[in-house]
Amino acid sequence: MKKLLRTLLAMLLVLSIMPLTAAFAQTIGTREAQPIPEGDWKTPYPTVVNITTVKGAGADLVFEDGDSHTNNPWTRAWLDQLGIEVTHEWVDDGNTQYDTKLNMTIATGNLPDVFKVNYVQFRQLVQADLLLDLTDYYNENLSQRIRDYEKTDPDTIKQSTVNGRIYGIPEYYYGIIDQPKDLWIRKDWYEDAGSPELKTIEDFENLAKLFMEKYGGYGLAIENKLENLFMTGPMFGVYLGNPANANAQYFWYKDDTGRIKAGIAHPEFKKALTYWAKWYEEGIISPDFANFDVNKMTQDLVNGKAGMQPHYQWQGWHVGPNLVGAQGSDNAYMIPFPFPTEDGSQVLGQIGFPNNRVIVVAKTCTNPAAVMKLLSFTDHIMFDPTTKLTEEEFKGYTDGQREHAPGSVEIIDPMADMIQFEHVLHALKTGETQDLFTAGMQKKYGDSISWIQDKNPGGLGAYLQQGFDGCAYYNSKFLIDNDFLKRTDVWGPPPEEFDKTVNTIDVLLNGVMEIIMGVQPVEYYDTVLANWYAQGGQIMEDAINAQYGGQ
Amino acid sequence: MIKRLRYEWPYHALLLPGVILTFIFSYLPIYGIIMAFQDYNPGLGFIGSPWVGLDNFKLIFSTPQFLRSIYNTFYISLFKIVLQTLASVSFALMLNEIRLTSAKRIYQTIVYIPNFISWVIMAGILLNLLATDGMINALIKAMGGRPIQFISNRSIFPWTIIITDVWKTFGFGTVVYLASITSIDPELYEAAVIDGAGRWKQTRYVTIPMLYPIIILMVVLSLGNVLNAGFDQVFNLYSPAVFPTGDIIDTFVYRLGLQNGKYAIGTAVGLFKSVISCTLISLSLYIAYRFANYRVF
Repeated sequence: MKKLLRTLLAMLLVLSIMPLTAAFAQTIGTREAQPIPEGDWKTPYPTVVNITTVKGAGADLVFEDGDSHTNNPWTRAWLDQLGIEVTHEWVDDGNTQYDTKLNMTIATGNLPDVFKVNYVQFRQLVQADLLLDLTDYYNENLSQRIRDYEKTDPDTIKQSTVNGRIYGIPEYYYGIIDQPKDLWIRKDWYEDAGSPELKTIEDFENLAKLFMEKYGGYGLAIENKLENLFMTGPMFGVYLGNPANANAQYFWYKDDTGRIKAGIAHPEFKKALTYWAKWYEEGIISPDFANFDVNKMTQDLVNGKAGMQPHYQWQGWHVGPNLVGAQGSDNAYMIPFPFPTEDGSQVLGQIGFPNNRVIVVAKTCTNPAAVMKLLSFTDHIMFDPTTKLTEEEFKGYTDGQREHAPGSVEIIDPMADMIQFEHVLHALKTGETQDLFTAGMQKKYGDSISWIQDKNPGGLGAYLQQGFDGCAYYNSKFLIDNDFLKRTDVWGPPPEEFDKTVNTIDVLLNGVMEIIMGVQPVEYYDTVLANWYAQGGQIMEDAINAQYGGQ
Repeated sequence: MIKRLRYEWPYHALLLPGVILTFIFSYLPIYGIIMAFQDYNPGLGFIGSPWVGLDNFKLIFSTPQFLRSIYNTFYISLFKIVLQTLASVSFALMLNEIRLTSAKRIYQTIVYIPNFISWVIMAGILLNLLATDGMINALIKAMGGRPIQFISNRSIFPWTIIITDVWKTFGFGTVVYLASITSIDPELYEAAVIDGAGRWKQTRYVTIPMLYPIIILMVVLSLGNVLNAGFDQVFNLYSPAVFPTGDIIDTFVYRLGLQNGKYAIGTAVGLFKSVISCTLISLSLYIAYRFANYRVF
């Protein structure tokens, strides 16, 4: 009996190890350094090379049945067309713990070949001498298209260049067109109100009160990190950062003396506080906003408790489908409006430093040119006008948000959305689709059409961003074309000295909330600002001026 | 010794997984404490990161928010302990007076159930109940009162935390005290009855004095935990509006260390808390031994 038990246990052990060995056996590429294939980046490696990576994957990224992060249309194309096998050491599903997990990976010393870092991690890795100097690979093995991004934005790559050598390639961004925020308003309620003009703050307040009178609830949906409320700064001539984003908590401007200061130190900020406190007192802001996180804020919009919200251009994805579903009406969604101002003058769009992450290669990587090929391929598929995809390829690369599946080798054309918007809107207006030459354009067009024709809520986000005169990008393009913009005076990441401060944003948020809620008068803001300077603000302001004062 | 071990080895073997896990998850990470004395850089690791001496401690002690979080932690914890003990003992005494066993069990179960609900769920329920247009405020308004901002008023928030925690957890204490009451020698009650004591005097002069040792023990053991004011509860209920009174050490460390990635400063705060907690635990064990004859070792 004992012998039988022992045999059974041994068999179980062997069986449990088999999947593990099978997983290792799946790796087919070599880790040995291979000669870089002659020709341009499209030339495949004759011997398959293996590249390791890690990835933060959005919760909305969906694969077809049987596919996964390690086996999907992208990984198969890399393998078939470039001879590169990409292995994921880990994937942060939901992308909420990526930085923490990456810090732990860095601490172990076993870095993947290619990965994305924030600027703090970039600085630390450079100090630790763990990153590969990419200058030669950048110049010789990367596609001309990506190198040309420097023409659109010559400054961002300087932030990952150390002593004249490139140690990181910016992931870039979809263009400054995606930066200005809008005031989003329930379309059906707005039309019921007679589609009034929204030029002044008074117009906005009147509409908010009308909504409250007709539909109950409150006027403007915001949350307790004040990310959304701070978006209304341009209404009052102040430009504020995002308190919820540790890397971009403050927006920096030059005062009359040329000194760079945080937007919260602008004299007009008190005007904003005065209005916000008034809105709270009048019920335009919910009496319970201090308890609202993003989910609760969205929930209130979906349930019809509020009909206005300051938000980014992607609001249609965030609120749209749920709102339409919950209200059971194709007309119950929110549309973007430019922010009104006190005297009805033109509002300015706020443009901050847009790049968040840098693509880096570990010093231990044996085939860095393969990483350049992967970046070039991904860019070629998504943004190159000469790329021709079959219907099947197009769906494979983009359905289920799979355009983001490349993860650490996803690079974005910094003019992407500007060009995309013009073509998508033109196609939607004329029905002429031959100029939709990138996968991104086809996707946004297809999604918009699915909303316009079939009222598919999944297409609402694209439609509200790009699909009609008055959409979010339409408003942004107007600001850009007419240079109605307020650009930050700090085109780069926060300096290292910021790490020596302790939660300065807490001092600000607490003070601002107390003023809004009427616990303290607006004049109390002088004390809040003094505390902010005393508890780290001064260090930050000095560091910003030292690093960017001559920019 | 070896002979005894030969006899007892199965029990030691049963302990082994727990010991190994404790070693891996509780002892090995102690090494990370050195981060508190470094300008920690994950790329350079524990060995290569530059030493900064006590700079991280100087920074946190010069931060009013940190000092405030220490005060808040003590304030919330101490009131939780006091009120929880009072509520548990009182309810146990009342339950003890119920003669109908089934009713007693029902009440006991009802007060015990909230103890098993996580604070994530409970916070969601409380945020709705205590909202300006929530059930509690609707009741207050119906009685002619003004709505109270239980969650966002900084003067009220600590008491919302204390009272909701007492409500959630006093059922557990009740079970412990009720168990102690049932173990009181019935002869004491018989003697009291012979001396003419009614129900109230039996409670006052027999039950409560006999509960003193367990009350002292429970309170003293709680003292060792006084720097844990309930991270999951506070984290799910607080907001920047109540930082001055609601931010506790654990939430402060979470924002600093994890949300802002300042591991070294976060570790310095954590180490400070651990040292104080260790002292308090030692003290509470000593007091428990001295006054309740309770020994762990």
